[in-house]
Amino acid sequence: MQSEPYPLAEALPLRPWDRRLAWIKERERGLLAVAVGFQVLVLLAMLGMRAVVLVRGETVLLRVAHVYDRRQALDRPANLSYEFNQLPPGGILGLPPGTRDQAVFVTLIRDYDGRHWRMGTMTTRRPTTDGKYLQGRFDERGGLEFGIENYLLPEGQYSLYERAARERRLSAEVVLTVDGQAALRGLHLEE
Amino acid sequence: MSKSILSHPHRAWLQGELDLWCNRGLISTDQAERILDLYESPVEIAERQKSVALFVLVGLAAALIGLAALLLVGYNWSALPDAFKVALIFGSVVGVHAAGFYMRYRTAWRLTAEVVFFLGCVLYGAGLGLMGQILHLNSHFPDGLWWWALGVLPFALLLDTVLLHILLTAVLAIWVGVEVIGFPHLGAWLFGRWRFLPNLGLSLPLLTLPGLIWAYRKGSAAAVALYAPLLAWWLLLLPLAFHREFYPIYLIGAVGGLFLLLAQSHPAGSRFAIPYRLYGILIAGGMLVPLSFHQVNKELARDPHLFAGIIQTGGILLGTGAALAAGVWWRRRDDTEGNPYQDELRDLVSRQWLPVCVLLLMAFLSSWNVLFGQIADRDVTAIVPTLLANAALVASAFWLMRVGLHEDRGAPFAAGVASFLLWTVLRYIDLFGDVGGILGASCLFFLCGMALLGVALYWRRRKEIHHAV
Repeated sequence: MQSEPYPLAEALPLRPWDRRLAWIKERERGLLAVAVGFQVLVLLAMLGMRAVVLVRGETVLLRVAHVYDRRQALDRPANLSYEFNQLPPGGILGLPPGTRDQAVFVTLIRDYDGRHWRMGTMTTRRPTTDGKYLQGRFDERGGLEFGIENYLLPEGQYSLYERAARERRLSAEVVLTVDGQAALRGLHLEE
Repeated sequence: MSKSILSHPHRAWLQGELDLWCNRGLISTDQAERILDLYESPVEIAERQKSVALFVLVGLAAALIGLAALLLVGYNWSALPDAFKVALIFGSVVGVHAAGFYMRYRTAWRLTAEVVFFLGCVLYGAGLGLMGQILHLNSHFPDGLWWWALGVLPFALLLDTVLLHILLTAVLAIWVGVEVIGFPHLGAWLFGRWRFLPNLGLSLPLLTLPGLIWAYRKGSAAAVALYAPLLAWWLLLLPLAFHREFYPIYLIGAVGGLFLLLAQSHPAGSRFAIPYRLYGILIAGGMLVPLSFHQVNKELARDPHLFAGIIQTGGILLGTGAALAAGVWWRRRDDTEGNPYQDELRDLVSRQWLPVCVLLLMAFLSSWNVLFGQIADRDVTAIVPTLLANAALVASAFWLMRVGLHEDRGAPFAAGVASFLLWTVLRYIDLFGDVGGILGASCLFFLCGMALLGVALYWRRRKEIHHAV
C-alpha cells in the first residue's frame, strides 16, 4: 500500500514516525510475541492478585442477606448483599457528614452458631486489635463495597439462591487476609 | 515490481484505449503491452477479488467464533472446575496466537494469519471476562474493556489489514460509552484520578493516535474511516458528561464543525478527508436541522444558564482557534518558498469558510439565549438563531455541491442537492403548512428552483472565466 501526500504526512514532522514504523516492522515477529506475552501477562496478573489473597488468607463464613439479579445483560454477575453493605443506623464511626469515597473497616465477631461471622463495628480507622476485619469503601454514590459482592450464579438457579438468602440459609465462603482484603471463594446452601 | 491494482472495467477501458492508440500509430504494440503489463492481469484481478472475498468470509467466521466464546462467558459454565476453565483460557489464547504465528511466518497464508490473530484477540477479551467470573472479581467492569483494547493495539499496529483496527475501535467505542455515560461520578482518569472533572474517557485520544498514524502512513483511508467516527463518538459524549448543566446541542454542532475543519485541512480530493467530512456534515447538519425551527429555538431560550453558555462559547472559540492554528501551521510547513501571505490567507478562507462559519455560529448561539433571553421576549430572541441556522443549512448544501464539483465526485454533490431539497421541505412544513397552503408551497418550490438555476448559471460562468484565464 502506498501513502498519499497530505498535510499531516508532508507538513507534520512525521518522517521520524516513518522511521519508527520501519523499525517496528523489522522487528515484527519479536514484537508480536511481546504482544501475545502482554495479553498472557494481563490474564496472569488477574489470577495472581486474587491468588495472593486466597493463599495468604483465612476462610470465614458470612451470611448473605440478599441476592439481586443483574443478569439482564450478558456477563453481569448477581449482586450479593451482606449486613455490612447497609449503613449502620448510627452511621460509620469517624466519618464526617457528607464525606464520600472513603476507606471503611468492619470488624467481624463470631456468630451465635459458632460457624459464621457477623458485623461488629464499622469505622474509618483500621482496627488495631488482633480480631478479624474487612476493608471496604464507602463510594461516591453512598454504597458500601468490600470486593465480595459479585457472584455468577449457575444458569437458571437465581430464585433458589434468592429464596435461600431470604431464609438465611445462604453463606458466602470468604477468604480474608490479616489486613482486611477479602476474596469470595464460593456460596453454600444450607438444607 | 508489484503491479498496480485495477478493476475489470478500468482494465477493459485501458485495453480499448491502447488498441485505439496503436491503430492510430501513436504507440507501438510493444509499448502498449508494456503499459498494460504495469497493471494486474484479468486472472490476477479475479484472484485478488477472490482472496478479498475469502478474507471477509473467514474474518466473519472468526468474529462469530469469538462471539460464541463471549456468549460462553455469559453462560456460567459451572459444570467445569475453575482450574480447567483457567487452563482453557490460557490455552486458547496462546494456542490461537501460536497458530497465527505459524501461518504468518511458516506458510504463505498471511491474510489467514491476520484472521487467526483477530480470533486470538477476541478470545483474549473473552478470557478477561471469564477470568473475572471465575475469580468473582468485584472490579469496575469497563476496566476489562480498556485492558482488552490495550492488548489489541499492538496487533493492530503490527499487522497489515484493518481487521484488528475494527476490533480495536469497536472495543474502545463501547469502553468510552460505558465510562462516560455509566460512570460520570468517578471523575476523569489520565495517569491519576482528576475528581474535579467528570469521567471523560481521557485516555481515548492516546489509544487512538497510534492507530491514526498507522492509517495515514499505510495510506489506509478505510482505517481513517474507523477512527474518525470513534473520535466523533468520544467528542459527542463529552457534552453528555456535563449534561445536567446545559443543552449540549451547540457543542455537538461544534463537533461537526470541527470535523469539517479537519476534513478541509487535507488537500482537495484527498480520500482521507472523506470520513471527516461525512461525519462532520452528519453531525453539524443533524444539529442545524432542529435549530432551523423557530419553536426549537424558543424552547432553548426558556431556561438559559449564563455560566454554561459563556463556557460553551469560550470552549468552542478556543477549539476553533487551536484547530485553525494547527491547520495553518501544517500548511506553512508544506509551503514552497515565496508563497505570499495573501495567497495563503485566500486559500485558507476558500477552504475553511464553511467549517469556521458553523463553529462561530455554534459559539454565538451558545451565548445568544443567555445574553438576550433575559431581556427580550422568547419569540423575538428565537428569530436570530432560526435565521442563522437556516442560512447555515443552505450554505452547507451549496458547499457540499461545490465540493462535489470541485473534486469531481458525485456523492457530495448529491448530498448537497438532497440537503437543499430537505431544507425546502422542512421550511414548507414549518412556514407554509398552516399559512400558505398549496400556493405557498408552489411559491417556495419555484423560488428554490430559481435559486438552483442561479447557482448553476453562476458555476458555468465561473468555469468560463477560469478557462479563459
